[in-house]
Order: sequence, then structure tokens, then C-alpha cells
Amino acid sequence: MRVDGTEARYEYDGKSLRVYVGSGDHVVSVEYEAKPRKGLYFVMPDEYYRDRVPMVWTQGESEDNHYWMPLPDYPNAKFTSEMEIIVPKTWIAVSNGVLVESKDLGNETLWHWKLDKPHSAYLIAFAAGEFEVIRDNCDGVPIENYVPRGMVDRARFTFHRLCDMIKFYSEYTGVKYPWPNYKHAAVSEFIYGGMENTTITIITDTTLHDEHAHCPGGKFPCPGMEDFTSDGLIAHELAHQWFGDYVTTKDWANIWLNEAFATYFEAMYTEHAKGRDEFIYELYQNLRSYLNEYGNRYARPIVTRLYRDPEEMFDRHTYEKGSLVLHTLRNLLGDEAFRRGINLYLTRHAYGNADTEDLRKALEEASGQPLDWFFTQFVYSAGHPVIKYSWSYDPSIRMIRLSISQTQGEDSYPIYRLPLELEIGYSGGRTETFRFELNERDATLYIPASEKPQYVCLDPQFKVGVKAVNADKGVEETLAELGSGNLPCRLEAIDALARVGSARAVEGLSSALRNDKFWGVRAEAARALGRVGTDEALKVLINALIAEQHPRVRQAIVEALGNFRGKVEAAKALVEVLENTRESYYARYRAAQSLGKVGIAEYGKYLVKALDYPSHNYVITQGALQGLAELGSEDAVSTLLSYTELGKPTPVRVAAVQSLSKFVSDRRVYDRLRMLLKDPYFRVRFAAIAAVEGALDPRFLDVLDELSVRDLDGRVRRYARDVARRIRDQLQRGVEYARLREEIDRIREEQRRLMDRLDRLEFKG
Amino acid sequence: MSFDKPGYLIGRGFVYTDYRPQFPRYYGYTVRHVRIRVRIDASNKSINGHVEYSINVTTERGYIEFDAAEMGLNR
Repeated sequence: MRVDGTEARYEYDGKSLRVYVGSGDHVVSVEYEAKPRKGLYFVMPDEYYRDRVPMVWTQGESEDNHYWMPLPDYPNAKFTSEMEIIVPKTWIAVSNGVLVESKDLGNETLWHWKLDKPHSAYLIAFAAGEFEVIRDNCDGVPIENYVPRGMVDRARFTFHRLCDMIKFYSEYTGVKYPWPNYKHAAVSEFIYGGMENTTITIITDTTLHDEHAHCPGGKFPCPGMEDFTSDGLIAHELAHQWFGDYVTTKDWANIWLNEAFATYFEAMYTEHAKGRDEFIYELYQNLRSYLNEYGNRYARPIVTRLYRDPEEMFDRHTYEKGSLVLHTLRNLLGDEAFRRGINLYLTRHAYGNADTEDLRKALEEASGQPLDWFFTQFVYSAGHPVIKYSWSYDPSIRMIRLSISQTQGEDSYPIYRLPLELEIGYSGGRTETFRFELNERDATLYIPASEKPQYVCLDPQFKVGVKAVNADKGVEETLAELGSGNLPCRLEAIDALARVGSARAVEGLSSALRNDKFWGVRAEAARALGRVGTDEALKVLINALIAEQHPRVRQAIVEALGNFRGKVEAAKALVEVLENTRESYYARYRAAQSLGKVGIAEYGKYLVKALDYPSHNYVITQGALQGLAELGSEDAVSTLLSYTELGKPTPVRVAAVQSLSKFVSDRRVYDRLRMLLKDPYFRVRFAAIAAVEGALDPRFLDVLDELSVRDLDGRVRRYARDVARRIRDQLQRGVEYARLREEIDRIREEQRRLMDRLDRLEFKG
Repeated sequence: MSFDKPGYLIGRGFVYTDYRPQFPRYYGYTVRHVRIRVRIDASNKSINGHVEYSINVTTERGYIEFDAAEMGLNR
């Protein structure tokens, strides 16, 4: 420990290093050794995984870099950095910035990297191992993609749109790519999908895939017919080079400034590369994802200071809801003003930190509109608007009477101010758009209409992304809505038809599955038919498998077939998909899952066979395990247990572990799950908690309580705590239920005694 | 812990009773540059490191702090 070259006084308690130094400029140097439990991860061949490519990689976010280097580990600390990494001779090491030199040290090599622009502490990173590199150049930006030895052939399917993404983001934001180069390192056992370290994004190697995963049965490229792609991951992490690395949140409370922008720009790139429908469908999935978290776990303001671990903030509120808030803002301001505001935000805080108020001010300046109200209701408040509407037509006055209400509960802002549009569809395909602002709890609007409309659709362009809608519509109106040119209306119609489930509704869904021009609608129609679950729906789905070519729609059909329990026709169709090697890996994965759900025991043999089918990321094996769990035989338990063992690939272990939830009454499963809750692999521990959540078994409370305090990963701590709470809530409900039962029994007994007395009195009388 | 605020400002189910508000940390110094050297010992899954910080100390309290977890420091 030295300050300005002289030994210095210091104190160290295992967490914080205190160095005694006066004010002014100093050079502080520290020599140390570490065997990091987090922040830096070794993935080495061992007795269980002998064929592994050796490597080491770091993961700083949120506050883990201080497990392998002393530093001020908070995002508001920004500085330039250089890294010298000494590794075995056969390894390559890559880090932030540009390579200054690689020096031969005999049995080792020193790799010296330097970044001369300031960046946050959590973005300092390196990866080293037996890598191969693919080099490229994008409009003057050097590109380097490092992949584990032997995986070069797969790289082009993952990175083929990277240059187009760099150009798009540079052009849209008006800020040219702000760093000297851009690199990826694909690593094994990564604990996230990707991490946007400045100039060196680290991604999971499970995203690397072959041609068949990308274009099932076809040749790469296959635009419009892609199945698995890495585009979302690559676009998301790249967007962070602007939103997160160039301008960084000043604290974890405002982390949406990093993540919501990356999620929204990922969707905007989808629009740029694949079109409007793909964009809206992606946002629609984001909405579902957020609503799922809202409905099943919790509601919170996007910006909140009330959390324990920063990792808790990396949830569907921050990412997906945040992206929808930005989308709503963009529509409110208009694309031009939004772009100007984003440019101002980026340039004003370049290589610095910002908070949500900085973003608000930039957007206000660029648009000339006050936005306090918007941020208050969507960013600083929990929840979202829940809109209910119905309409009728009065021919005597040629008016539509629209009744519309905001019905959100107390966990949401009381009355939102919402600029909305209504699509009014008439016979012959003619449509009109009506614009209004909803700023009351209940409102009735009269809208001129020369004839009775066939349907009315709220927010046909999905301009207000953060909302839930309940509409009271008949089947005929919904069928007409299926003909709308706007995707959100058609998606709303499909959802409504699935709830109706009548023969007429099946006709409509069948028509959408056969004829809609967008694959997303066809996929939703297939899933809706699965939910309807009638014999007619089954017939439609099986026929659709013959004609449908799009791999993602085929996945949806196969998934839907899993709802037809006990139906041999469904099982046969699923076996055909599962056994067909020209079929996409992911359709076969779904086929295996669905075959189990259909639940005909004699088809289990196909699942056992499928355990060994090769596929991207072992997805068919995963599906087969999940299918066997659905079948639920005694053999299934033994198979699942064997696939939870160390030595099996982590994604396979995860699938097996999650599938154990319905077997916890089996002593072997119970014992194994207790062990797996302390597995060295984060993903396995997380899966084990998911299995416990499925069972809500109080015997696990002691381990969950321990995990919620002691686990190294903040995500595991939070999840364990939530599941423990759910179990306790259930127990509490059980106690309350038992009390109620006792009370009823007591009242019954009392009543019986009274009746006896009454009988005796009558007898005496 | 109770919060005298409307439900929509807190949300539902996210905040546990032992949660306390979290604010940005400030360190009393700014880092201009850091130079890090790490030697990877793959067989022991450990590292030897050396960091050199160029800093400007703004605090008058006479010391500064670095976050550093579970390390062995060499004198």
C-alpha cells in the first residue's frame, strides 16, 4: 500500500480499504491477491466437465468488481482505465478500449488494454481464455468478436447485423458511436444474457447457434423466416454503449435510464430492420412480460429508492415497462422532438452521469412541452392505467356513444392523463380515427358516425404502450376487428375470441391462423385455439401444421396442441414434429413439452428417445425432460434426478431441476432439491427455488430463509425471500382456514344441540 | 416500517418492512485514471493484482476508502 510512492497507513476490514491521505492530488497503489467468490469467474475443465474451453471472465454490475480489484464501486465514479492481464500462453485476454501491446513473458502473455475516455467502475471488465477472434470494420469502427475455441463457424449467425445496428443507433441518436472500437466476448456459464462493459460486451455462449437454429431447414440468411436469432441481445447490449456507458445512471434508483433505453432501442432496431409489425409485436410482448410481473409478483414505481440489493431493480418494471414508457413518450412528443431530446440528453451528459430529471429536462427543452405530469404518473408512480370501454350506436343522432373508464386499483396512479386514439371500422374496410384525451375516471364521449360501425378499437397504433384494456365486445364485432390493418386491433380481437370460445370464434381464429399476413398474429391465433380446446380447434391446428412454413408459428401450433389432453391425434402430430430432423429445434422442443402435456403414457417412449437428440442449447433435451415430468411416471422422477447432476450441461440441469416441483413428496426429490438450492451454479439455484415455488412446500423454509440472507447473488436472495413469503402467506391462510372450519363445526354443534332441545320441548308439549 | 404515502408511490409487494431508502454514495475523491495489473492463476482460481489510482482527494477528513472484498493485501 503506497501513496505517492511511500508506504502509507491503512486499515482493512475485508470489505472496505481505508487509506490515510490528505486532500489534493495523489497516486495510490495497492498490491493484493484474491480468490474471488463473485465479480470474476473461472470456468475450467474439471472432473464433471472435462471438455470445457478454459476461460475467466468478469461481471461487474451491479457492485461486484470490488471482489477482484479495490475501487470506488458505484456508477457515479467515472474514470479512464487501463488493464494489464497476464494469462497462460495459449490464452487471449480482452478488455476495455484498445490493445496497447501483447508481450511474450515465456509461459505467459501480458495483454495491455487502455481506454482513454472515462467510464463507470462497474463497466471495467476483461475476459480471457482459449478464444478465437473474428475481426471486421464498420464505418471506421474496428469490430472484434471473441468466441471460445471451436465456435468460429457459429459467430456469423450471431453478429451479422452488428454493423447495421451501429449505423442505425449513430444515425438515430445523432451521436456517432462514442468509443474507439467494439468487441464481444462469448463466454461459458455466463450469469446474464449479456453485459455491456465499455467497448467489450460479454455475452453468453449459448447465444451462438448454427444455421439450422437460425433458418430451420433453409439457407442463411432467411429474412422474414428466422427462428432463433441473437439480434435482440446484440442490439440491446450495443444500445448500452450510448445509454449506460456514454451516459450512465448516477445511481441504481435510476437504472431504467440504462435498461429501458436499451430495451426500447432494441425494439427500435427491430422496426428498422424488420418492419412496423415486428416492432409493435415486440412491444406487445414487453407489455405482457411487465403485466405478468405486475400481476404475479409486485408493483413499484420505475424510479424508487426503496430496495435492498441493486439487483432487485433489474426487473420487468425497469426493462419492459420502462421501454413502453419511452415508447409512449416518443408518441406523445413526436419522433423528431423525441430524437432531439435524446440527442440533447446524450450530448449534455456525455461521458458523465444523469438521473431521470436530467432526461425530463432534455425532453422538455427539445419539445417545448412540460412533462412533469407524464413522469409523475408513469415513472414515479407504480402501476398502469386499466381502461374499460364499451360503445353503442344511436342512428337517430348518428353518434357513437363511447363509455370509457379508468379502473386501476390503489397500487396505480389514481387518474391518468392519456392521449388516446380510436379506430372506427365500417363495412367495406373503411376506417376513421378519433383522437381524444382521457383525464377522468369515467367519461362518456359522443362521436359522429354516418353509419353504424362494425367495430371500435382503442389505441390502434399502440401509442400508449403502458396500459391494460378491457373491452366489452360481441363476437361479430370482434370478427370484424380481425380485418383491421392495425396489428394491436387484430391482437385484441384474437384475445377476445379465445375468451368466447364458440364455434363462430373458432372460425375467426382459424381464418386468422390461415390468412393473416403477419406471423405474430398467426402464432397468437394458434395459441388462442389451444386455449379454446374444442375438437374443431384441434382439427384446425393439425391442418395448419401441413400448410404453415414460418418456424415461429409452427412452434405456436405445437405449443397449442399440448392443451388437448388425452387426444391421440394431437399426440401423433406432435411425434411427427419431434421426430423430424428438418423441423426447427425449437418446434421440436415445444413438441416434446406438449407431448408430455397431452398425457398419453405410451408416447413417453418418444420423449425418452428425444433426450439424446442434438439441438441448439440442448433445447430438445430440455423439452423432453419437461414432457416426461408432465407425464409424471415413476421412471420420469429417476430420469429427471439423473439430469440434475453435475456433468450435465447447465441448461439441461436447469430444465430438470425446475421440472421437479410436482414430485417433492418423493423423498429423493426433496433431498435433491435441498442440495440443489446450494448448487455452485447460480442458474441451478434459481431453478431450484422455482421448483420450490411450484410446490410451496414449507419444509424448504429454512433453506429459503438462509438463501435470502446469505446467497452471493442478489437475484437469488430476492427470489428466495419472495417464495418464503408466499409459503408463509399460504400457511397463514391455512391457519385462517382451519379457524374458520372450527368455527363452522362449533356453530353446527350448537345448532344440533338447539334442534335437540327444540325436539324435546315439542315432545314434552 | 410505515410510509405515510399513497399506495401508488410505494407500490404493492415490492418493499419489505426492513427496507431503507438508498441514495448515491460519494467517496470524497475523484479518480482520474486507474491502471490495473492482474496475473491469472487458473489452477488455483485466484489472481494477484496491482492497482494504481491517480486521484484528487476532496475530503478533509484525512482518509479515503475503496470498496475491496475478501482480499489479501500485500504490504
